[in-house]
Amino acid sequence: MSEPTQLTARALDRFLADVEKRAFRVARMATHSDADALDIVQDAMFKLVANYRERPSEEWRPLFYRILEHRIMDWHRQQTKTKKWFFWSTRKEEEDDHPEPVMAEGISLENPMEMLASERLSAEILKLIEALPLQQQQCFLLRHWEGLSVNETAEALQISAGSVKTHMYRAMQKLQEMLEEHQLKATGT
Amino acid sequence: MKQTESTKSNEQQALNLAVKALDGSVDQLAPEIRSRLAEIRQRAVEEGSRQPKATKSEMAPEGKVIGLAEYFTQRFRQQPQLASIAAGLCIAMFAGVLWWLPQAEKEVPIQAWTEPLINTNDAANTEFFAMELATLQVDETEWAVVEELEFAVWLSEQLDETET
Repeated sequence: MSEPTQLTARALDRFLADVEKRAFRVARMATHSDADALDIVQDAMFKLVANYRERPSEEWRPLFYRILEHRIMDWHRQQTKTKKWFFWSTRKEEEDDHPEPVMAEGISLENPMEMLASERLSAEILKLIEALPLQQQQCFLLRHWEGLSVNETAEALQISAGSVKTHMYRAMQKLQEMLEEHQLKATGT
Repeated sequence: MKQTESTKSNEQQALNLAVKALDGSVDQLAPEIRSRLAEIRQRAVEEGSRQPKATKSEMAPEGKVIGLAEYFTQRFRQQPQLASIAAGLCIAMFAGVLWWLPQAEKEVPIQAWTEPLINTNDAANTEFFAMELATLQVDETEWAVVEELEFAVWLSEQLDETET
């Protein structure tokens, strides 16, 4: 193996090691299935390495997420078609790996660290994100979790920057509503 | 102004909570998922360093024309349910053909073809043959054969009459 190829391979390995778990989580949230999420991440990794490894390394991240999002959308389209034609065989979703959320007592928005201490609240937040419509969910994850810019998110999802902002706003609204409800229940009012 | 600030701080808090929850979920990934991901990454990197970068012509173009067999193989691999439906349809069609063939044979009775020849006494048929013969262009030998046949028919009629 030549020196530049080795360097690229090492850089790619480092980059993929950095994004693989988060990418898996993004795909898992969209598909609700470990196996499908692994397939999607695998495709994204192979396509990035096969087609874009010679691009500058700073371009890899948006490119990788763009491929990942393409695959997630493809998966979603395929599922919609399958559900349409094979409506009688509804896919049994894998067991949710988050426990049923139970209201933690005595926590308030004023003390976020205390709230975070509650694993159940985290599970509830994750459930809410999983339940968001696909584009809202993916916008939220790419923009706020992966730290992509609005334009990069828009490119990855092949929607306009305006749509990204709208999806983000709606997702944030739902998250805040959920947290407020949680707080109200916790304070018993 | 104060309300906007508090909304923003609430938003930020909500965001921080969501991000921490997501980070936590990554830390809690099952070991088998982690090892699968590492394996996939290793394979992807190895494959990439082995192969030269795919040129545009080597990559499957979107509008590539593929054979029907290849298309169906791909589709059936992607959706095994489609394969089972297609197989079911093929079996049903084959069974249908097997059921229909003997029926079809029965539908054309051989009498339909032979009756006009056997019922030579039938006046309509005789007239029909006479008309056919009149329009035919026949040479002397054939005409002699026809006359002999006519004589044989006449003789058999005479015999029938004497018997009755």
